[in-house]
Amino acid sequence: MLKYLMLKIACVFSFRESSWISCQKIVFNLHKAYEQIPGVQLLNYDYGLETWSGAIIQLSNDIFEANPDAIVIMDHKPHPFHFLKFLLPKYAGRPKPLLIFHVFGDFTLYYSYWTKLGKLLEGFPVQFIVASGRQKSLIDKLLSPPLYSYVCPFPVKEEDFSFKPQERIAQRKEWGVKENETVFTFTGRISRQKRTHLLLKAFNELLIRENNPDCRLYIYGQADHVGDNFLNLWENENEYFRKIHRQLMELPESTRARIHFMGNVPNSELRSVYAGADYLVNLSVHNDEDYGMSVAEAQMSGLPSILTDWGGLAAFEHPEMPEATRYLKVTIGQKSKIISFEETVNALTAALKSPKKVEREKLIDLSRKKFSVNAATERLKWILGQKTVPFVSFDEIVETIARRELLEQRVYLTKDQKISTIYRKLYSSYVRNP
Amino acid sequence: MSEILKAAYDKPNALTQSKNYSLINRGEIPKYYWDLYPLAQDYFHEFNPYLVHTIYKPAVFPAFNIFTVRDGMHPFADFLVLNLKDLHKWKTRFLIPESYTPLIPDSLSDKFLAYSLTQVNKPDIKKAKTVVVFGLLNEYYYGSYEAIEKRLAPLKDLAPDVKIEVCLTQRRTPLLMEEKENLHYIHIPEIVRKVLGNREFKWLRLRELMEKTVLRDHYLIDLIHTPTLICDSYLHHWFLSRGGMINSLAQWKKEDDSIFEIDLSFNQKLNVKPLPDVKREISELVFFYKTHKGEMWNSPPFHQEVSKIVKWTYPLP
Repeated sequence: MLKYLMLKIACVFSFRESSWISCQKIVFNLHKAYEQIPGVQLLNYDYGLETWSGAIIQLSNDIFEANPDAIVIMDHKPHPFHFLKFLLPKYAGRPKPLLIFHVFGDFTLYYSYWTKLGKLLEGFPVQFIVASGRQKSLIDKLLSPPLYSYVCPFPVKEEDFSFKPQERIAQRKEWGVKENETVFTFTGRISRQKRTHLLLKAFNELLIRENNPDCRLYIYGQADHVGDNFLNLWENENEYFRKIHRQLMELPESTRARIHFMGNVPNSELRSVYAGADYLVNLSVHNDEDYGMSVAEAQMSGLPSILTDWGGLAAFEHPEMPEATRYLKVTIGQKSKIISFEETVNALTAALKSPKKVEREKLIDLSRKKFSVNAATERLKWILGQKTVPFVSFDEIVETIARRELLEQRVYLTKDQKISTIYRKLYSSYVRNP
Repeated sequence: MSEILKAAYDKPNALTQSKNYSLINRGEIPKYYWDLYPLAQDYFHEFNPYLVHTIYKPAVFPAFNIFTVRDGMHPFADFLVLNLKDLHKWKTRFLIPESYTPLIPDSLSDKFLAYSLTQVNKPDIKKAKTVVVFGLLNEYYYGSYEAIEKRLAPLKDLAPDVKIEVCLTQRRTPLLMEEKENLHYIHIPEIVRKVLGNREFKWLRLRELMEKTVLRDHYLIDLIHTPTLICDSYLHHWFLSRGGMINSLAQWKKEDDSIFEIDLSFNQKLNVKPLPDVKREISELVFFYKTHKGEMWNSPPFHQEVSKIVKWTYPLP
């Protein structure tokens, strides 16, 4: 257990922004949350993809000489193994600092590094901090008791996301949308695992069933080619864009006129997007969906949402305000993750017809209590005060997966291309009532 | 021919699709792919865009009904002279830039169609908040120092609040057997400084450029002078798909002779049309090929012959 007063913390992260947009914000907001802990002294260390081997050795020397009480790995890449392999052996026979790992969604892409790192971590007090309850459930399966992860949602800056009625008016004017029109929006990667194709199909169905009601769909973001590699679905650059574009062209012209692809916009413009919109729709079933930075930001702007009940998206449910979030059930099927088309259309329809407007200020208050930088600071203070246990090892499943990946064996699919037991064991954490 | 295009569109079969990607072994193809990074990066559309000269197994061609040729004029000419006989046998059709038409023998005309790439938004440097200059430090790319200076000339008239970022990258010249020593890395930055005078600008590393996520309000001055190395640059696709504007591509307009059109992003179109009616000059190249021994892809005299036939220079401002 550490007393955070007068605590010297070494923060390790890339000083350059990540190309993964949500992570750009997360790291800097997390850093701010640590900064606000009274009495802590933060020492910042740059560790990025372009840090060369000599600089990595120097980095480990510098951290060791600074003698911090805690070392916080704040960024998602590069993997910390590359510098911890130089740093941790220096502590042999000496008092060991607390190692804190902020776990991002890509934790599960690097089993081989975690396996190697596990051996070096033996005996160190370690804390893994995840961003949501579902991610905790997943990560805890990879840790060995009595070590469990802690939850601290990735924070959002209050000054960046809030709601101003005049911003709503201005944004809707810019869009050319009347006040009585319902605006659905999606912000994020246009991606197979974000089910953009389902969103287009369901929106079209909504228009057909409701006889072309006054509503629009604004999609912000850029098409990716992430595919769904765990399920052996690979894509090349532009492959998913072409799929989406073909789908769009096959929709009736009246539908196309109501769907707007807006591309990537600077983060600073998202607040007015959330102000102008009536619902955020996020149908993600991404394997890395440990949280939902765009949902957190939308809720901090008072925007209600329609979300898949998958992974970290479940963190945005507010029992005090059930109307703020409509959840769509996700099941892990034989070959893929399944969202009911009918249920998606029904959720959009219900949102469209919902006579009750969500009280934005109430949602903002609730969200700030959970997702603001101040909330993260309080949470981190609590976590830092918890009793730590020395690390023994990861669960054997980590090594099993690492070995199978190394030997290019299927991990998440069976020989007949069905979802494997390992996948179900891990990702049952991402669904409700698996 | 339009039926073939429609069939290819309806049932895409492209080398860059995941189902076919195993056919491409990056370890075995020429270094060309990495020498030109990021210009030769793969991307997908239904008409199978690829650097055809890098396909070292001829058996691959008949397996695909269509290819969109991304190769520069020299490697493409090399591919043609090497495969003239086989091209007659293959059912494969090729989409080539209009300017390559003189290279196509009359007898093979039915195997080829022309394509052009355009940007949807009007490229207007005055609308840019950031202007990015990109160039490979390689004369096959930029042409001449004079051409660079002319392409950079619009920078002089930019409003003071417009940011200027310059990304120059030096790589091996893939069309030469042996790399010759050069001082581009000294002379070309000197030209940049000469054009910009006291104006502030930022040197951009390639990684920094490629990590940009929002390119709206960005304008690219690509220093490419002639398509010797590549005629369909991934950098252009990447830049346009993220909302940017480019100096070297025309704005899209409806064309009467268009046979097919594909949106490569919301801001870039590929337009397919018949080959233009121009004189074919491949026989001179074949004669050259037969009367000169050795490989052609790395032969400067061969490059010279190709340059006489394909007359394509990106317009200077």
